[in-house]
Amino acid sequence: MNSDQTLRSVLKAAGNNPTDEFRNRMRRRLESELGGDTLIVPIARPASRPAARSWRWVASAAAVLALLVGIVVVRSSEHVASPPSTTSNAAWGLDDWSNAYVADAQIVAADDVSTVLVNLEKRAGSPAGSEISPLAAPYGDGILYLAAPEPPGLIGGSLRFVDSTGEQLIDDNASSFTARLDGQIAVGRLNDKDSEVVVRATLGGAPETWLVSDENLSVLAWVGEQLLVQESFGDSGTPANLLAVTAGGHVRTVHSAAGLLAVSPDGHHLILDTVDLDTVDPASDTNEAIIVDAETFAQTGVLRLPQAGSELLVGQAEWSDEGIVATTWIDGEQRVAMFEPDGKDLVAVRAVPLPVAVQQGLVHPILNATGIEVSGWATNNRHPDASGGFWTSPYIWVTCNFESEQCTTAPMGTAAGQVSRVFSRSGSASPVNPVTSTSDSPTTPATSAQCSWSASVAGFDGAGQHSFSVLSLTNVSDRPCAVPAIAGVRAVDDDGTPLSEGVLGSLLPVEALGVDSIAAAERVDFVVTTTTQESCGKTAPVLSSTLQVTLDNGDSFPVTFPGTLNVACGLQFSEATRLSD
Amino acid sequence: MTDEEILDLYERSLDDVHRAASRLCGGDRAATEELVQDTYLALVRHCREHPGEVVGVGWLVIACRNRFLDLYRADRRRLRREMAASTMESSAGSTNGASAGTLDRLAALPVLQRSALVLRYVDDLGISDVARLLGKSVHATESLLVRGRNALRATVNTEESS
Repeated sequence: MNSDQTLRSVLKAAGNNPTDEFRNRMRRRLESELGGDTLIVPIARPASRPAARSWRWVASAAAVLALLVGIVVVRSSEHVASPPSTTSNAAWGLDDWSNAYVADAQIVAADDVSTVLVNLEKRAGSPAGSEISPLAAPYGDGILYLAAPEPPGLIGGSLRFVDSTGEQLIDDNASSFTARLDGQIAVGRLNDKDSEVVVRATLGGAPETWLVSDENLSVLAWVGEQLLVQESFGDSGTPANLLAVTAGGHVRTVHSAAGLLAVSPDGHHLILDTVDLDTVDPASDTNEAIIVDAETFAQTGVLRLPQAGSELLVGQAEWSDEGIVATTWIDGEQRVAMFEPDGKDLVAVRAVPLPVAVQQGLVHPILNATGIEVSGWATNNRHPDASGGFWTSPYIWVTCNFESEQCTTAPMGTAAGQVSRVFSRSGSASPVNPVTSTSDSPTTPATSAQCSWSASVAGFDGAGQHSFSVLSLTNVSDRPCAVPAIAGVRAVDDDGTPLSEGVLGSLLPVEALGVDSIAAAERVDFVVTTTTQESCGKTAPVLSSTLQVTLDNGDSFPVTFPGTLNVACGLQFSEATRLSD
Repeated sequence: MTDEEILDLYERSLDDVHRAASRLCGGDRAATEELVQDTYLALVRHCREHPGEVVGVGWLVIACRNRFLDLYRADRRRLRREMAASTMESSAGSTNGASAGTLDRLAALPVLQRSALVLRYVDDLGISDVARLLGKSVHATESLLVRGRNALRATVNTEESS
């Protein structure tokens, strides 16, 4: 297919018309209901029961699907365990990057915030098509991260390493990766006709192919000498094998239909989300999370959920020395559950409801050292989009306390002084991503209420698929002012009617200012980006030349652009930055 | 709505509702007919409870989708098995010519992928809405959509070239 629009057209044209027999039968049924007062007896024939082998196929495919949508296993460098637990330090499994771009996020490497401050690149893509999480992991003194494919639309992205000295390409076709503390890097590649797992001993090491399959392969985590790999169906569907691969391509099957939820801190146990393949009777079907020995794969216990009917959200679990947490779905509500050992099992003892804005679950949960608080990022479900609905941008931080049973949210911090301890589990008592920053500057910036700003548009380029504009705010006060932040941007028409609400983000790279204040007469920039309507399948542009900008101090003012913005696909505005003159 | 108006709406809407249901059910006839039946029974109930309200085809299509999602949420494992397994059966209803390949492809998809595609591209829901309806993360829904698109690519390309 060439575009989402094509897919949309084809799908809308698909579908079966009713048979005449059903049309007449349904008509009689309807007439009967209208003339009577019961609506009980079904008339449609139930599907015949398929053979057991069919169940197996279906269940396997379903299990793989469930697994492929975001297996995340985060291991900290603090959890170096005795053999066999060489322990993975991070693994992200993402099987596809089509139309994706890396959202705005800064990742602070490891435990030392001064070592590397990386502004993950923002790649041009379809803003309406997809957003994906920052996929990165600390590696040495830098960060390994998956960059979106270029050009957008390719399946495989690229694995890159970045540190304070620069950036280097590690693999130009990576869809998942996991790095081990001794430096080994495993990459899952999705090729045109097959997929493969390659392993490098070091950053610059030659890739060694460990596994090739006609089905999709995603690397999940290192456990001792074993590399856990998810084999999943392609277009037609195949069993969902969770594999353990070792050097030389020796493969063992951990489970024929299971996904990895978490690895124990000592690397001796795995939690798997399984599907009972041999159950033919749907009523007795059970999906459950089991605990298995990482060497023998024998079941040693189960993960018991908070109550009957609750489900685990795959990939959103954390097993650390302090305990285990996982996002669960209970009574239509998502909660973060804390599990504690009960004999050989793990039993949910507490479950904290997540805020409404975080209905998609806690991703990358991290337990603090006390085991009382868990933090992780999530997509913000309450962010308004141009159509008046909601979409999930930008990301927010969520911290839940199991004692108070309360959760708080905070923005993903990128401003100076803010720290996103995304992948660190150090013993520091520093809260994850403190919302406010402090300044030790001898010249204390004026409060926001004492500051005045004048707005202008410093640049405009609307010729291509995307428009890139720069909104500049100049400090017209007679003193330094704290860096302004934009609370909201709204595109309006000539009559002031709202056309689109801006969201935090940018299609252009934006560097952090790195300062706490803006001197008098100095300026700070904000990048404003839009995309033509074709990218989001809209048939007509939505044009605006005026933005209503609201600062975090409450000031609101219109800004007229020298050109016309097409906000049909939404509108993004960046964090404060400063572009070269 | 009067009984006559309901029956008139039935005649006008059945094709659209049936096609919507068949997309959700991957072309499986039995599941489609059950879903269509539930939809019209819901219509009767609604009209009895709201006698002065007039509804149209759009209401029925949304009711059909909601019923499908209710079934999915209520017993997603059972539904997943039944519907996916029932795709092994042949579809007997008349098909919209060129869309047969697409429907076959839809039928071959796991129910989650199929649902995500239909909700996103046919019903034009936002990704977060699709995720919420399916009880999945946006991350997971993105993946579902990508896999669904890839699975359909061959069919669409074939249709485009023809």
